[in-house]
Amino acid sequence: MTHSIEFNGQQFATDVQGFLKDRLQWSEDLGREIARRDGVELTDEHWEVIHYFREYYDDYNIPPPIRMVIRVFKKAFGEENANSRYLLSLFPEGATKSASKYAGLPKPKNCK
Amino acid sequence: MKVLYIIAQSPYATVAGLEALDATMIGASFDAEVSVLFLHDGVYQLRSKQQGQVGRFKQVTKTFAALPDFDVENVCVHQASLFARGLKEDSLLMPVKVINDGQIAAMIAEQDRVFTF
Amino acid sequence: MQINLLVTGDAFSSQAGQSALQFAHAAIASGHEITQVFFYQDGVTQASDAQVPLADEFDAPHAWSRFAQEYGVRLVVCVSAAERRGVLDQEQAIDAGKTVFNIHPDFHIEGLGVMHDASFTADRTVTFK
Repeated sequence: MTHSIEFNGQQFATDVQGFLKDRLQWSEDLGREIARRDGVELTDEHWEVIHYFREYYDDYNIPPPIRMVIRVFKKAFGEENANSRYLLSLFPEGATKSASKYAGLPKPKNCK
Repeated sequence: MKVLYIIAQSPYATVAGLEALDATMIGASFDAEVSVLFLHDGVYQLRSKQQGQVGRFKQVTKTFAALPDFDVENVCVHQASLFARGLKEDSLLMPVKVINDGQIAAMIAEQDRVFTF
Repeated sequence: MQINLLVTGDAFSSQAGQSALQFAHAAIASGHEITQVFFYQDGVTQASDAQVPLADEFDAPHAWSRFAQEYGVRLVVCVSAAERRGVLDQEQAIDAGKTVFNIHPDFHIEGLGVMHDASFTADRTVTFK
């Protein structure tokens, strides 16, 4: 069974949960569309995290650990927002899963 | 709890490096003092300038460089394994501690758990 | 002594499963306790109920299942290692859009965290490659 999303007249292959198969096909517009299908309207704060996920993945081939995200965004989000609760309010299904999805990255492993 | 993960296999030949890395990262999420030792062909995992994508292989090796982000600071490489393969500390993709046979024996002796891949 | 086992060798091409089982029986006979058997890397194939060895060969899922039932030991399979090697339970199969699942019902799919938990609370972890 193959899955895909249609966007701007183009088909993009995904896995069954809507994660893009080829992260090189990703664009901000496509990321916005994937989030919209999840009922999520992406804000500047979302985008900061999503871009960080993409950069980190380019460097290390994995999504960043949550504590790294919190450390990195201490400045951007402000001291009082630099915690996992705030991240969860941005990405209610979990930042690692949702930010990866909207960033066009593969579904993170669930071994934990 | 002191836990050591030993990686003794080269990348691309097997997926041992990838699965060792997964285990290491999970171990680090526990309240344990985690160390990693690259031994024998395992030192090839850390060779810099790998181009795994050319052969369409997933390049797991660069993920090792993320270990400090997972609070794994003690990353060691066996000196003689490096030397035997014509590698030097500066041919590796991350800063490591290069240790000799005696130091490895001492390191293993002080662990509570050792997982070998 | 409390001992947990880590089995990383393939069901057929490696001796790991048989050695681990013999060790487990001997350990129990000597008064030790096996607290958990965890299957990782190629070891996850021990849980596949879709293998048909010859009659005089090691039948991994069957042998493990008998052992688990006799001594009440939990058999745990690493989820990501299993998914990558095609060992699925029904729920995973549905999630991944697959039409088949093949895990033996006496094995449980969980994560590497469970293995570490078992290892850190036991006196020893013994690995079979």
